[in-house]
Amino acid sequence: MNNGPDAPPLSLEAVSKSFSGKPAVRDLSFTVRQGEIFGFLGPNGAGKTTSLRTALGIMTPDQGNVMLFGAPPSQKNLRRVGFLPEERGLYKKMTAEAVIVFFARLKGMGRGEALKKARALLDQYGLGDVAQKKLKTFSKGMAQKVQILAAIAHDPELVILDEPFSGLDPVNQRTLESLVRGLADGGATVIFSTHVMEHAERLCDRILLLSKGRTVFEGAVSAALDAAPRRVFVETDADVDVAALTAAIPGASAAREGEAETEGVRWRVDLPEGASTQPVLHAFVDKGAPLRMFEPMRTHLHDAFVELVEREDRPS
Amino acid sequence: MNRLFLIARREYLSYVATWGFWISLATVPLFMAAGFIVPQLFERSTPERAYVVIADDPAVGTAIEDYLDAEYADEVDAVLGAMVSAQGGDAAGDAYDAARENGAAPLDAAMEAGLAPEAAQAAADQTRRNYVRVEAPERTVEGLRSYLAGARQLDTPEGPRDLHAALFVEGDAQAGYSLDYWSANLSNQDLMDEARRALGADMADAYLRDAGVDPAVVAEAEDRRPETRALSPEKTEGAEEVTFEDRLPYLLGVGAGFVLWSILFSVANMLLTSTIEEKGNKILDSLLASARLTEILAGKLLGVAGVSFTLLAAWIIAGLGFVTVVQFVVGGDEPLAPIFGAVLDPGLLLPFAFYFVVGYLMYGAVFMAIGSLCETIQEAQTFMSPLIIILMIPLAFLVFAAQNLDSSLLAIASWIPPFTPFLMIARLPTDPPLWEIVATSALMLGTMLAILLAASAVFRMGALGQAGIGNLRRLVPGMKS
Repeated sequence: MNNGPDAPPLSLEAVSKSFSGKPAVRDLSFTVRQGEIFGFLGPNGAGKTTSLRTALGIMTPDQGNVMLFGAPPSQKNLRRVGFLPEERGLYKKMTAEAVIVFFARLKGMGRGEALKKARALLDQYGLGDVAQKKLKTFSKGMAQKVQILAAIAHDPELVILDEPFSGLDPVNQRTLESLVRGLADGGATVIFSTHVMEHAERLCDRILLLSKGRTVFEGAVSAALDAAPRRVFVETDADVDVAALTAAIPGASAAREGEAETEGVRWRVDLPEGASTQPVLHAFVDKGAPLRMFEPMRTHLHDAFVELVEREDRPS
Repeated sequence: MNRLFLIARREYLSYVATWGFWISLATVPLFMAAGFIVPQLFERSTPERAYVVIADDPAVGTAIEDYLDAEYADEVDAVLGAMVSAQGGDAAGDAYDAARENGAAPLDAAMEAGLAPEAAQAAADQTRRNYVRVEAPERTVEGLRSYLAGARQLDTPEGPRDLHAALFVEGDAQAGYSLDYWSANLSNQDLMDEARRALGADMADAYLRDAGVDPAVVAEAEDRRPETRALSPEKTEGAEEVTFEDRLPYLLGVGAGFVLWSILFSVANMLLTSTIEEKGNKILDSLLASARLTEILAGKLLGVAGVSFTLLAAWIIAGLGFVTVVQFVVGGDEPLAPIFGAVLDPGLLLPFAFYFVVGYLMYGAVFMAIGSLCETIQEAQTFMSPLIIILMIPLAFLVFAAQNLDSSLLAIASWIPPFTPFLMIARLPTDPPLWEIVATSALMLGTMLAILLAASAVFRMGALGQAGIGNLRRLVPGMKS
């Protein structure tokens, strides 16, 4: 067991958890490295929240081990963790400042220090003017911001955010992305769960994709993108058969999409995951076929997500 | 420990640091004062009601009037007698009684006993006549109908006034009276009752005279009372007479049971609503990542216990203040020192604290567990009804206990752990055997531990969203909706 200063912030080993006999998490293992932004992805009901609650010791796993900074979760090492739960809410009759101070003090901060930090954070994130207002007067986005600040006020080394972007408007989502990057730049390790891939794609160093309680992928975002199928849209003359033209490319399949906007017809060419789009271009050039438009689609994590989940569901 | 304190402090301040809490606290003495003052205000604001008597024999009207005068004199007598005793002590009280026995009117007797004439008159004025007889403008129902209906007013030497009632009396005292009471006021028929008693007394006097018995002799006979003393063999020789001070612990024991019930019921409800608020507002997950479940449970219990002690202190201060006000301002005949002494007696306060803590943990844990399963008060209400019925049982026993502290049924009921705190505190002044106190306490403590363990498990499941009110409904037969 590595419980020294270089111990990973979080490590799960063969963790399983069931509710009333129904498995929520099955044989889950992963390690989060110091200083990285780690995405915990999966569709609704994949077991993300259960995994995070287990990681924090809020739930006890039926099987397996959880290590926080090299030791089982305890109040001592939980002080080094900031947590934003998926089911979030605050004491509506408390002021923004008081609620941040309360949670920071629960994490061991002194009153004066907590108060100073709460004021600084509220000012930094544009809530300084409403620091003394009760949370019941806040919009949902503002309240969520306060809760995130309450989770990080004690300068945690590990920040766990469960679906932090849900319920936020695009402006606040962008603010939160900046906050997450700022935390990582400051040396903290950040884990966040989401089912919105764009955030993970923009922020994460590594991701773990969970489906039906099992890991379907763990690794760098670029590696996940390689798992997604490639697609190219082309526009050409109506008499050109793109299917025949690309038949020689391994794994390629072409389908006519319809009339092009200006002239000719539009085709979609699907390629296997990781394949280059260059052979399609070469096929047109080699045969001297007219090419009015060549548009390789950028691969998104969303596509990789769908592909990986569907692949997991396909009968082997 | 620090986290527990922080959670308790937040819980305590969430109630105490609000205007609503202090306003509701202030309403306690206000309600007490209202309970005392409102009846007096009603008494004073009720108009002196005019009535007429229509009878062939003018003596009938006089008999009713005399009867009402005598009733009024008795009321004045009671007020002045109490005031004389409060201000002049037992000696002045005895002087007043002696003057009254010698035939002095209450006002004269009070002044004779040392009460200042202005004070005596003011006290007498506190008591108002409710009814005044006036001359009838007409002697038939038809003639009086418009007066009774309020369409016309009576012309009296004091000015015009409404006619409250007309009493039509036929017959005589020997043969018996018949009374027709006419009034448009259907809610108050006190005058009819008074007139019936007056005529009844007149008939009884006539009956006695016919039988050759002087009614004055019968009245004198009825006034004869044995000199009575209540004595207790447990008091020291020569001072065995039972005083108010001796009876006070029994009264306070039952009173403590009621207070305990009221406080536990109030604070358990606070715990319920606060837990539902935390569950509904999704706060528990955040708390669970920052503190142990036991710290959250204990912190909340401790915080609300603090609220209840604040409530209790305020109630005691308000209660003692009320007693003081009644004693000095209004006049009462019980000394204050024994009341203060008995209320602040460690022999009452320590058992009260013990039963409060155990009862609070029992009921508080159950209410919190239920709260952790519910998102809204409406959800909780379906399960609260049977619990409230259980809580009402000891209250019914306490009402019964006020006069029957030695009842075996009460003794048996005090063995039922959820009832023990309320019923044993009431029974303690009767000196139940030590083994019974210890055994009921042990049973109660064991039950409390079992409830705490079960409630912690339910709270954990409820807090983590692994169980809801539906799970409880499945456990309790008949609770489907």
